[in-house]
Amino acid sequence: MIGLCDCNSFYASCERLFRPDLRSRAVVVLSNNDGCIVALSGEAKKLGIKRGAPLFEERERLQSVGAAIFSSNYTLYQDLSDRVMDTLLTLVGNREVYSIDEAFFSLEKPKEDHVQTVRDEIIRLTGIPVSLGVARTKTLAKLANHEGKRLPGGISILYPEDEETLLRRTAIGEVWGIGRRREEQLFRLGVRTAYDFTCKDERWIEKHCTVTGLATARELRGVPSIPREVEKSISLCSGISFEKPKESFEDLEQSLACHCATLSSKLRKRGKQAREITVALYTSRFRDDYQSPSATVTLAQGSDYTPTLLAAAKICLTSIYRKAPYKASRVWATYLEEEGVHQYTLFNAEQEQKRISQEERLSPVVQEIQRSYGKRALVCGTAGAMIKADLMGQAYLSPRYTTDWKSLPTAH
Amino acid sequence: MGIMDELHIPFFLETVSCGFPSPAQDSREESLDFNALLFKHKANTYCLRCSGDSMKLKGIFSGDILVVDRTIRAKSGDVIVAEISGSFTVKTLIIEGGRAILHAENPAYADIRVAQDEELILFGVVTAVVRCLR
Repeated sequence: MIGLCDCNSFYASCERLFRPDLRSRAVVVLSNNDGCIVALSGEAKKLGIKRGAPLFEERERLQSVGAAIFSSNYTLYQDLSDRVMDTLLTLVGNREVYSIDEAFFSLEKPKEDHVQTVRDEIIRLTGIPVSLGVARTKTLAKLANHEGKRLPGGISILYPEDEETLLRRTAIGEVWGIGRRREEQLFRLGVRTAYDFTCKDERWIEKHCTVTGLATARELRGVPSIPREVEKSISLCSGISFEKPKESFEDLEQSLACHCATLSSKLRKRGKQAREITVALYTSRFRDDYQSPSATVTLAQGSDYTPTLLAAAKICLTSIYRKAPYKASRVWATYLEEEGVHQYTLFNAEQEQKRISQEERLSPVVQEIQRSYGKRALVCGTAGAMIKADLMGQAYLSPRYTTDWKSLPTAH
Repeated sequence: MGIMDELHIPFFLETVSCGFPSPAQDSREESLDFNALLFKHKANTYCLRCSGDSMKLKGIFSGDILVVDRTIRAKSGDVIVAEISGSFTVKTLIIEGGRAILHAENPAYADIRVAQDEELILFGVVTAVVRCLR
């Protein structure tokens, strides 16, 4: 059978781990720009605050209950995510990381007490609360996990004989892989529950919902149809050591432009888009004043488009630049997502859609020119204003407790 | 996770004679790796920084880095990090008659007795203390 390990209110739980004073206080985490609420602790959910709500609408209510507000601290979340995933691997012997807070694993003949132990051990060893759901397929494991979250033990095993009951009371929109638009479409076609969907003829499903929908339907019927993802690349990097140290902002910017062009083509080749750009500069390791400043910018949308990547890199550079003889520069593209799986920001979906379609049209052209005339034939001029709206405002950023010696939590 | 970069200190058991093929070649051992020493369970080890002098008689001082391994089950006598009234505290755990006492290694501090109905929220067992002298 297949299990899904899902961290509970992951970002909020990360913020809480090194803040014992927040153990029973409401915690919310904000999106990039601190615009809206993207994660809530159970206490915050109980207040009736919804995921996606703009901060300014909820600020008063949050303050009145003494809630803790945080900007997204992806450095912290990624480190704690790695720890949870490694621990899961140690405990069950296999694991397929699906997202920052979810991983699938396979388990033969799952027993209630064993699954419970795995769940309790992950919590004890990492400090991050998780729920486990086990079922015949990934899609069913998702539903089982949802059940588990509601139960005090935080686990649920969905046995084949119980599947129909669960599917009958699961709205079609709650099924993994059924998006908002598909849900509306299926609703119009009379499909209300997950069970209704499984009753449809395969040809009907393929006609209305393509092969993706068909895979979902098969999964709901207990037939594994979503293949294991090939090794997900976590990040891509482009870096260079300079022959002669570079000091000026412009020289460094130029090196970043080359990195971004390289990353763009690497991303395209893999069909990925980066949500986050990190820039690091290095002075000589052999000098006493060795330094390696770095900064990270998160994009509201994943991108593989050189100007967007460069604009992000340039913002990083601006924030860390200080005149010094740098020996090397490096740019990372991280939080890679599948091309075309855009998660629209809540506010300007239409505008975003327009920008993305522009990028999608332009990117292949740029790639083609670079293929024909060499990588450096076409590079960016200025890309300044392009992603201004995507920049991170981080007024409530917590320390990088686990990755920075200067930010370790304190014990008295 | 990059908690520490690997540090290689080649360690030879013999001196090297010049002009001959090194007789130490066959005696080369693995470099000393502080990660292996300090982070036995990398995914489950957190670092905290000690503040204050409540553990000074144990040789743990303000500013020291506490290596906390969560895989280890605490027993009486272990130095542990626990949550007490909303913050982390580092103390020696003493279990007496089924009750937990958080003992400071400094006579200026009183023992913290965990009440019967109170649950001791343990963060983890301190397995090493790191102090850089400069």
